[in-house]
Amino acid sequence: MPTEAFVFDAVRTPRGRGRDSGALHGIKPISLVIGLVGELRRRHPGLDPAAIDDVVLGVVTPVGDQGGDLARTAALAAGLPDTVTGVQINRLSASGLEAVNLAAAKVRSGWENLVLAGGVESMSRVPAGADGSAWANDPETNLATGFVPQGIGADLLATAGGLTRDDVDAYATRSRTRASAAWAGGYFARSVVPVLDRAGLPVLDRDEQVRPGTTPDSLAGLPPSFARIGRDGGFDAVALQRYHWVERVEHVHTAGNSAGVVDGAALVIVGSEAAGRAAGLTPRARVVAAAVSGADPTIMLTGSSPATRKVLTAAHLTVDDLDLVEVDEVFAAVPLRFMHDLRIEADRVNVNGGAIAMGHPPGAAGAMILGTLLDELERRKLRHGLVTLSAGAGMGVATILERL
Amino acid sequence: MNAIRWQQDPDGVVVLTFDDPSRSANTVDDTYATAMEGVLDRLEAARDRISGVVLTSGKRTFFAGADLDRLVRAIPAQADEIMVSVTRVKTQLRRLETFGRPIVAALGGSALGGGLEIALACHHRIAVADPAIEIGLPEVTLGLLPGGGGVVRTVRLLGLSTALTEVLLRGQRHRPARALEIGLVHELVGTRDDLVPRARDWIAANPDVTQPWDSTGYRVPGGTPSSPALAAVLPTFPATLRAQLKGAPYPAPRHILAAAVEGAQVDLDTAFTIESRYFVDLACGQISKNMIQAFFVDLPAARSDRGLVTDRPPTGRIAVRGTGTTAAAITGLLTTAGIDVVLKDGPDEADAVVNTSSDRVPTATEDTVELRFPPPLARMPLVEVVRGEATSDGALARALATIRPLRRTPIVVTGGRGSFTGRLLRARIAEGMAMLTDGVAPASVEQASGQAGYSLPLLVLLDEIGLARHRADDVLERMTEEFGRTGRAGGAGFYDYADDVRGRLWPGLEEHFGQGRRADVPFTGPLADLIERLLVSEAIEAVRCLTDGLLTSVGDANLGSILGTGYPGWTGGALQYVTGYQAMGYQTTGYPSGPAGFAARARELAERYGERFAPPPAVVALAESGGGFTLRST
Repeated sequence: MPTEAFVFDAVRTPRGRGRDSGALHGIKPISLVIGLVGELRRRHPGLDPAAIDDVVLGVVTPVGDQGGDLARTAALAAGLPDTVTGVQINRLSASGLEAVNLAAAKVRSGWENLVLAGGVESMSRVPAGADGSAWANDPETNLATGFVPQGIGADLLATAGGLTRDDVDAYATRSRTRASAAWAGGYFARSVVPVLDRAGLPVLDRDEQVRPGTTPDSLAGLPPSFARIGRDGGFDAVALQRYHWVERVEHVHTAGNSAGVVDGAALVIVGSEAAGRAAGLTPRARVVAAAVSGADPTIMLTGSSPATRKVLTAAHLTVDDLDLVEVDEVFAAVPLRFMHDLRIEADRVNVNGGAIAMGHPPGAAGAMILGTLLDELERRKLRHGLVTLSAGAGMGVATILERL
Repeated sequence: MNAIRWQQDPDGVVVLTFDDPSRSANTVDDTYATAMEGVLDRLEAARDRISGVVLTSGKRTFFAGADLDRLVRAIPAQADEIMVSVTRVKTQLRRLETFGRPIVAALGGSALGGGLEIALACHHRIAVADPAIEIGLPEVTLGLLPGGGGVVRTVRLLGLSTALTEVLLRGQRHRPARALEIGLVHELVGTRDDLVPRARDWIAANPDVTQPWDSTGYRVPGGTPSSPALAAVLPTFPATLRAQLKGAPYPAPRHILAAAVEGAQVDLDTAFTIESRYFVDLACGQISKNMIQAFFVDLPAARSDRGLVTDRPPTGRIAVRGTGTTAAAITGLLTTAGIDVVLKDGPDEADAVVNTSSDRVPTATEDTVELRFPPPLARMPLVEVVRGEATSDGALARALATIRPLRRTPIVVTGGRGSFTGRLLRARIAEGMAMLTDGVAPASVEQASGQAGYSLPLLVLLDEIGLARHRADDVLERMTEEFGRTGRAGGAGFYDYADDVRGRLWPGLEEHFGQGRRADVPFTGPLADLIERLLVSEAIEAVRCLTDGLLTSVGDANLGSILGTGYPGWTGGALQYVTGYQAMGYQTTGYPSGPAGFAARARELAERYGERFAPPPAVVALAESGGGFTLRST
């Protein structure tokens, strides 16, 4: 039997608006990570930093402030011993969850015992796409694979699945209502660690873009985000060349029903039972199984469905065994398609809202919603939870946790 | 004799005159390369006594371009040979532009393709302001790319965006005034005689000159792919290209885009190498062969006098029979071109007859041919010239002379066996209608048309022509009779129309015709099958037309399909599609190429979709003999 991997704790920063007016724009991405490392050490004084084998961080745009292996740099800057290494990984939008899964795999292999995993993205400081991309920017590759931006894929996903603007706006309204209620109820209190400045003064303690009072009517007036690039940039045509039975792409996604660009970080302690015992840590959950799967890159954001089927098989569980689900909300069509594919009802999916309400920092998002899931499993005293994210280029990642 | 004449004057200016005595136009061939080698050696040996160089031409045009007779035969096994020769041309031009003295191109005639590439290696380009002169890099229209440094130098001269959109991707032939605006040439002069004196003045005024890309501090105009502003829009370049090509498998513009972008990321010499690699791939591939044959060989042949001599002077008149809108439209076409039209029944005193009446009685006589214009009139730049059994060569020659002002490509067919383009189009329409009744989504029929490379999607084409024209088909009969949808002119067809503007596909199509299809399951069969059902059905009909003796010229058949039914240009025409058959791109592999591959694919389609795809005997014979449709005659 392999060593089991456990989650001992999960923390995150609040999410700041990802523009220069955002609260976290003046805070460096490395500082967000250092703040979370410090919080974990304060919470768990028995944790010997020398026992940490590695720091695994998802960073989707690893250039500039986020370049040069931010994970190792953050470990050093946070004052962890020289023996604690760091690795930066990129599985696009699913990077934060991929980091946790990689940490769990390291632990289950028996080769490492205690790993800090999570991710960071300061989108206000390092814009998405700043790292280049052969898929998008190399014409030979772009032509051969039919690259389209995510938003076009999401609009195609909605069109091909018969989802209307009303459908996606209704979903977005629910996400926002649930997020506001969860904040009001204090359901994120255990995970969210306020960001402080160097003098210890508060910078941000709440997800900056959460606003109570969103109604479908207030969303209905927003203009579609991708109509113009779809038409003038040629991307609608590329999408339809593959989805040839669709006459045209209906651009239903707007700023109101897709995830906001935000800044934020998350960190999870993953380790073996023995390592936890030595550090005086109580396991909160067991990582039951994890999986990845590719899917069509043009429609792009359907990967969470095959990844979930795969992880359920690996865990010897069925959809009915899942008490709660966290699925990414980069665009409203994504969770709607996922729920349709897996036949999961909305009452156990993203029960505290999601990225449409709170934002999606790609490097960190997966680790953030893993913490959200864990908190809610504990609050409701439920057993099995699924975290899954679709990612760019047609990928999906899924993880099943068992609350202990 | 030397293909490049050398003349040095006391001011130290060397005037090099391209004038290959063995050809009517200067061509980038071995004769050129050998002569250029000698000229460069001589220039370099005498550098101290030379103040500058002027390149000019002794022909009507400055320079014609690549040696297409050679490229049309290039096969993949010759990749190394093609690489060597294209590298030699580039290396020579690089020697020229770095010779250390001002080099001026004096363009007294058209500079297209290789000719403009030579000029681009000069420091200064002067052209005569004559609107008949064409300047450009039209290689893409023959399935090639400018492999003599044209991609690299236009990108570095004009920037990626301008080079791609104004010069490379569509191969525009610019008038000198427009070439000046774009920046392809530096200045214009009034006459040929002004060229060399102006070049001398420029040399005298600019003794120390280097190419922009060899100057200190040079940057590619508009930035390189690593510039954030350009990187942000770069992903739209391939997408826009795919949109413009409608997904059709033209490799040349794709390779041009790739070579341009990749070349902009590296140094000049590496950029040249990248350009050469993409060039060799195109030159050795099938599609450049198809396009060179159709547009460089067959098209001029079809537009020529075909070696025929008129029996007596043409009357310059054409008789139009019939009174409908088609007759009116054709009459308008003819009179606009300055051709006399007589609206009477007898063919007397006319060189040709257009019969738009419903009788369809053959009208060609010993003395007169019949003309047919494929629909839609404005979209198909072709005219079928129908000769009867008795029509004399002299009468045919008269008719060809009379219709020349139409500037439509003529193909010659034999009367009494139907219209060539009509038969092809009917085959494609029948196949498209079969798809609809098979349950294929109407949008998929349109996508298959576009991705095959047809000039118009099938259902759009039918709406333009009018559905009533082809009522023999069940779908079309129901469309017109039961639903009253007759096409664009009637305000409703396969598409809905509002104020003559095409809207969306009529939702009733799927309801009434896609019975085999479940509404919740989109058609997911291979798109390659849909594409090839269209292409193959028309190709088989073209083979039958040839076998039936409807026409005798393979070139005419190929052009007739491209210009008369919108058959994709990359195929080289419906018969060349068989001869040069390759399975569609990425979707299907494992087929042999050529007629054997076509026959194998046709048999597979026959198994899946019906016996109509069984390869005709003529194709089976070619598949066994290993030949192709190459027969040619008038």
